[in-house]
Amino acid sequence: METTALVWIILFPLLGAVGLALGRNRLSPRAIGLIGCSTVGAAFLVVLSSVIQLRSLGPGEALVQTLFTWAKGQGFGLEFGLLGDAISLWWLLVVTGVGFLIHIYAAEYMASDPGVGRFFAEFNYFVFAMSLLVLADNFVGLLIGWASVGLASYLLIGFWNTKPEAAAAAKKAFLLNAIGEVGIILGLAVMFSEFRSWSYAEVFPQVSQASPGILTAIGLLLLVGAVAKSAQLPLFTWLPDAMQGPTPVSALMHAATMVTAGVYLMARAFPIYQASPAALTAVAWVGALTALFGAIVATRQFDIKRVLAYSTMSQLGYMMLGAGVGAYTQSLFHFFTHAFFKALLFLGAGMVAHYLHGEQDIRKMGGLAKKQPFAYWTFLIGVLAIAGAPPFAGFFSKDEILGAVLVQGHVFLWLIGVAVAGLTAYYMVRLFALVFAGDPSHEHGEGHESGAAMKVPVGLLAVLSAVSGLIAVPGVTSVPGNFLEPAFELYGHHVPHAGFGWPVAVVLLVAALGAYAAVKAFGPGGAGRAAAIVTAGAPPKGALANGLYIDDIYQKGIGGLFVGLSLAVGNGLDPYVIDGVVNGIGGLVKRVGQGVRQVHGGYLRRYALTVFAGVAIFLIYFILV
Amino acid sequence: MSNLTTVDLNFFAVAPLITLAAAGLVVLVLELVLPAERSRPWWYAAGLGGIALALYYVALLWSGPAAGPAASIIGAGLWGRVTNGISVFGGAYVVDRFTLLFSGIVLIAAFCTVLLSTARRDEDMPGYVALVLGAALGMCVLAGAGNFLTLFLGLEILSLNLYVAVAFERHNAAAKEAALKYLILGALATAAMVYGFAFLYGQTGTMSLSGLARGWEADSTVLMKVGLGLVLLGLAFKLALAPFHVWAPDVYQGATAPITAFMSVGTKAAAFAALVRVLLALMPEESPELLLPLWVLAVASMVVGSLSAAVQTNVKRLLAYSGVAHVGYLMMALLGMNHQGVSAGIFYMAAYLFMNIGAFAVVVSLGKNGREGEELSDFTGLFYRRPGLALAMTLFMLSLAGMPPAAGFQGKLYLVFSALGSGAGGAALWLVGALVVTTGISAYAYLRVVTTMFRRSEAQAELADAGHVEAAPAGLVNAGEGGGTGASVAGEGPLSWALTVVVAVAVIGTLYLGVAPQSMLALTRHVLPLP
Repeated sequence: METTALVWIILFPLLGAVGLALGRNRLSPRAIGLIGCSTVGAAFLVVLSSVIQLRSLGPGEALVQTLFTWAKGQGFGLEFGLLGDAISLWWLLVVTGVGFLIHIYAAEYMASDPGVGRFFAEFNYFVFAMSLLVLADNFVGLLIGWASVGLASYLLIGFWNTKPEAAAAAKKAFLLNAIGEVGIILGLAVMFSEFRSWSYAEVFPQVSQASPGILTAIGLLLLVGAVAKSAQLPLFTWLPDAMQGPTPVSALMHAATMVTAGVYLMARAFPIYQASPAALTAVAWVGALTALFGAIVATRQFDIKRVLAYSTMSQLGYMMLGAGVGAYTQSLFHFFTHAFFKALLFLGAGMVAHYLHGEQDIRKMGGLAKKQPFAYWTFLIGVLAIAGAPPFAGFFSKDEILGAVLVQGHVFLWLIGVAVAGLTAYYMVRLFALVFAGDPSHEHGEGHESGAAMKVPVGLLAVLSAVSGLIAVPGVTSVPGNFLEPAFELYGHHVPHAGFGWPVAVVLLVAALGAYAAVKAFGPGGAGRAAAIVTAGAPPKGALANGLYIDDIYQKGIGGLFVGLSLAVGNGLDPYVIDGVVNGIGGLVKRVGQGVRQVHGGYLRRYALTVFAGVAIFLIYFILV
Repeated sequence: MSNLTTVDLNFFAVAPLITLAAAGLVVLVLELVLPAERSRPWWYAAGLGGIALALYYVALLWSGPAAGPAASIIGAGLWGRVTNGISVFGGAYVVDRFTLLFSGIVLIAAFCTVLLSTARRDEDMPGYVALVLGAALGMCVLAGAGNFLTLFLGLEILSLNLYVAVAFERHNAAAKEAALKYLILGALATAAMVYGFAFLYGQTGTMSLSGLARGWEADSTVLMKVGLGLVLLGLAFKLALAPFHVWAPDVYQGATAPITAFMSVGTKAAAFAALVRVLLALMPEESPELLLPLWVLAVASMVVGSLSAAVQTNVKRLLAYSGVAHVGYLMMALLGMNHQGVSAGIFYMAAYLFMNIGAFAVVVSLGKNGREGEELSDFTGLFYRRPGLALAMTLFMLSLAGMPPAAGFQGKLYLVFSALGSGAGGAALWLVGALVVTTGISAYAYLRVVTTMFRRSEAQAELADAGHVEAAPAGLVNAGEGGGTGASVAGEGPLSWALTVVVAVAVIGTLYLGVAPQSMLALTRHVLPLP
């Protein structure tokens, strides 16, 4: 059904971003926070009304809005429009809803920062970009949104731009995501040469006629993009470093929404994946291995935000695993609940760090239960939700994915998923025990208590983390299934489901064992706790704690190769480079003093030689052809 | 050639060229008749006026004589032919929409160049302005060349003017060195090209491009192929396609920024137009492998240009290498030699015009104490000193990197479209792949400039920390003002109106082409008699 409302979901945050960028030095922090929150809140209301409108339509129908013709020519055309179907509105509920809560939190958290105006301008810009990514009705619009959230991520990770680590982290995130974008662009090139279109409505119906080889190529190339954006193996190294940004950024972008763009792409392009078993298998394995890897590394981290970062990576792995077995509804449901509890955990971590004046080393915490009862209880709900304790949200969504994996016959993938459930319970309880239980391991002095603007969103997220799983109790309620599945059935895909059964008991048992082990080791008086506190302040040691050194391999190996290649090409053909690097501005002045003839005679000969060699090869070719 | 008729000597069709030549002479005469101090504004006025008048004639030729004095000057019935192109002076010069579009691009670049130069206080500025006008004349001639003689003439007019313009700062050794290199290597390329003309003439007996188009298929002997190769080589040199780009970084760095900006846009546009005309005449349809070297050069340019740009610390040099990469992209327009490709190429050139001139305008406006703001270090913390200028530069860099919503993104998109639709198969996929990969690499180079502008130097950071609330340092106050006016802190005067105009035009152009590409694309459609 044609509608005119969808565009406002994009426009409200965009107007907010532009207005805040222009007025960032004239408005008071209070006004900045108010504008920043209200635009996202307005977008959320539009999403809600669109969802209601969508419910009134028949199955398989969607809201559409044609915006403009972007390019029209011989043999190609690009209509730009918005598509509000179940998948995109589901995503937007979280992007604008959780986004709204985190904006409120940030209004207090960032109030005393001199760059608060810039922060909210960029934060609103992110909501705009993410909404564009999700709402576009074609792959080019998706790509533009994709690149724009990358830009927002780059700006916000490097928000504290006088910190060199923040700048380095921002650069890393940008470069790794550039690899992903190259993958997507190449995928789109193949797609265009096969289907002559980038519009969802034109590509997907043609999928059944395309050759499997082409579909696999497209699927794998798009997967490269998803792997980079969703921090999957092997392009995950930017996510732990991305925690250099302010905590609300970590909560909204690097936990709840932006990093799930990869999962969105998998769900959006599902007709392609369902038609290519090879690509689908690749998605499942990437997800399972990442879930395992992230969970293992998280057990060795001591920085509260890095634990949560690796945990995010691991949970995203679950979502990819779900998508990889065709269980899109479950995958999207897990995205939904994960957004609540992971945002809750990050905001809770922010409250703790805020209270301790920026301390993030969990070995220096301990005993915060009495000092911060609000953070204690809300964080506990988050831990229970992510660890999969019934009846909290994570229990239902995670078990639905694992159940579908088993129903589809992937026993090995299921075993990995179960192991990850145990590890998740272990590292979350370990984190919780070290931060809140026992006595303070170090003196923290008088803390900085959080105000209402921070507590209200955290409280709401805690309630949602506790109860949102109940919308999909197998056999009782099925809100995600009813809402989402018509969108998948539109192109003939039936999502597999599993009911309650013995596998659920296995998962619960393994998770309980993990939690028990963590309590034993890291509870008050535990051996692991004592050993950890001794090393407080030191970086974690060992291959696992350092992510198998994959980051170092990139930095020194591939990064070094790139720099070396650039310098080699630069030097080989450009004798100025070394001077430029070494002498900077002085180089030119110095050069004049050295005398022109002597220095440059040689270069000209070299240039002429290059040109002559080129000419010779050129001519030989034309003579021989 | 022998059938020169009065219709052929159509002076109105070459009115833009005559205007440019006359304006150059007027500027030179002004210097003779008036004392320098009094005539200074008039040099620029005459130069700018001449270019504006030429642009007016271009527009008039484009739209036809429905209104205006042109209707009475030239006979009725001619305009029906202009849309398809008319050739004048015995086929030596072709006036069609293709020529007019490229003339427009060249003239806008020349206009901006003269505006950018108004800050120069040298005594011999009239010569400088005349050289810019002369080079623009050469470029317009090249864009409409109908035979090899005109092609050669245009190339030499533009080159000779630019050799001198590059060397214009007589006391700057780097400029003289750059000019010498440009001259020697340029002569080499010209020689190759003339040699190629000789081969082609020897084989076909005609100098006219339209005549060649008929002669080619009859006998494509080795000499024909070598002739084609030599002509392509000469144009590749002017376009600075790797490995024939070696002159570009030195010359771009040695010349003053306005001249560099003009060269980078104008020469590329004119040489690209000439390349299209040559390929149109010599398109070896049944042997596409003859164009393989061109695609190899294009890929090499993308790779060398983007990798080398990533390590530069001098912004002019960075832009030079960026230009090398961009010419590589531009070659994708020629894959299919069809309407779509040519249209994408023209669009890309227009986008490049705005974003590149804009970037050089920023370099000019950062100049102080007789030195241009060309080192990367000059850009440190620019955002906190001149936020408007820094945001404009950010836009240009993003556009050069090919990011939406700037023009560069649309340009690349159309190039990819046209390459994929060209039917050139493997070559097209190679070029698209190279474009994607090198765009990623070059993004690093451009974003380095952007991050430098947004990084505070230590001193600025301290200032901001100490006085955010009480003292409100100038940089932060300015940050709220926005716009290109950039009232600024001590040590840097406000932008002159001329620079403001150029930056504003570039920003508007870059955004406009990025957001509403249809308007420009509509102009570029069906400008050549192509399949």
